[in-house]
Amino acid sequence: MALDFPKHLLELETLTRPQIEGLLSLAGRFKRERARARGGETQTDRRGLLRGRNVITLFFETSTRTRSSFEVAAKALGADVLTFQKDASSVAKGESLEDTVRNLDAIGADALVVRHPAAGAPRLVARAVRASVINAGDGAHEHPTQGLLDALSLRERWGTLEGKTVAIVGDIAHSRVARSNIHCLSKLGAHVRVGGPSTLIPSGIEKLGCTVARSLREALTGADAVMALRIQNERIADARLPGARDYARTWGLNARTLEMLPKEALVLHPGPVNRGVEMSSDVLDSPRSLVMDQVDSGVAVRMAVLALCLRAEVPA
Amino acid sequence: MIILDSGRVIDPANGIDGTRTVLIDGDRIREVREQPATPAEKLVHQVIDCRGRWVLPGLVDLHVHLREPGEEGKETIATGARAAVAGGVTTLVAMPNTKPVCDSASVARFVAGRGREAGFARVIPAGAITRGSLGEQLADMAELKEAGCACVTDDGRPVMSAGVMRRALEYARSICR
Repeated sequence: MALDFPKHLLELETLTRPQIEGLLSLAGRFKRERARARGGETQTDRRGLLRGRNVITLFFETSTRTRSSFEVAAKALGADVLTFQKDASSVAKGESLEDTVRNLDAIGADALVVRHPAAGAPRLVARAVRASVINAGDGAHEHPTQGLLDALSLRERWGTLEGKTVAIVGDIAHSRVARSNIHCLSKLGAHVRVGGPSTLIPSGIEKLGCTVARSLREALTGADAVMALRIQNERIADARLPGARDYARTWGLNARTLEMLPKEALVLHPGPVNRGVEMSSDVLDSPRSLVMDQVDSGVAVRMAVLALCLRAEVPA
Repeated sequence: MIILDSGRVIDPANGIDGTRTVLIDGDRIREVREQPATPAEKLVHQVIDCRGRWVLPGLVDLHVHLREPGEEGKETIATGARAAVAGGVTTLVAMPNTKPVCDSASVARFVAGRGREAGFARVIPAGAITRGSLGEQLADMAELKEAGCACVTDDGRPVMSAGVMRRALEYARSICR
């Protein structure tokens, strides 16, 4: 594999289109292999790729999908996986992030998968350690593997993202998913539109290369896909939103509002979904929903990220 | 037909301020003219002598406390709306500082409905900016707008936090398009 790929995956903003496309091609292969294995066909054994390597996941925030997905991906490549438990660790005694990761590095980590509430924390970790650092979501900065897995699911449906329009609807201000997707999808040639209540659209977001829709209708009209983001209760406490009901009424995706979207357009959500708020159950469970496919893509993308960052030799 | 004879008609929308006679047919104004009511008209129609009096379009009062629901001992929607028309006010906006506060569609619909039942002035509810007008969390403005609220205000309990007020203005912008 002659792909030039960085040692750390901290953000998508600085990746090039060939790097993203190379990664997605590899992830696509892994995804097809996983599908064949599920179908009972002979499994391509990838457990040799990272045999003897240590992957440590450090999550300073809760997670269902990302953490289990990284751990399954690492195990599928034969790596040894260690789950760092924040509350059972010396972090609970006040050990700093830098000291913690230096120690994990000395123990023999080859990759550290980091999720942290502070934007930039994975970069700080990358400066402190010898291991590869993979950002699993930092504050409102980026969630690179989410952007990549969304791109993979869309690319498989469409063949290419060139010329497509993707609307991202919801809390753009606090969303690392939105930022990673804006970078990733636009690098792949898609046009990204963001929309949401004005309290949740940061001023200047256009500088990232997207446009801003002022209403759900404007966001959905002519879009090829729409991605709904999770609405968090904190947004109601800090007076950015009146409540889930008002949000569902103005920006929620449901059978009524989906009339504004072209018939063949796809629906995505990074999870966890507030059913009935940003997306109704009938939309989430409909055939046009890619939500479960996104999760499937997630494992394949994380396999590819680990393989590339850890310089695994993937046979053609 | 009712004829308002020779009053001072003040009607800024039509640029009129002078002595005019107004002919009303049912619920429509048929004519506004300079000529006073004729003796023949006085025989056939109900003619009100308006000389030395003012004749105005129905006034709109943007800030009215009707107290209902919650404090019917002070005022009700019916008594307030009736007093309004007696004073020339045909449309009024009811402040949301009732008990409960008008921060939801159900209270707003109740106020508008009671106004219609009373049948005097047109009663339009104003919604609250924040839940319970407590100045902390935003009220469901999109829902209030849909329920017929003309505006949002916390009235005599102004929003004390500049941060919350800023969010309220930003949020209102996105639902007013």
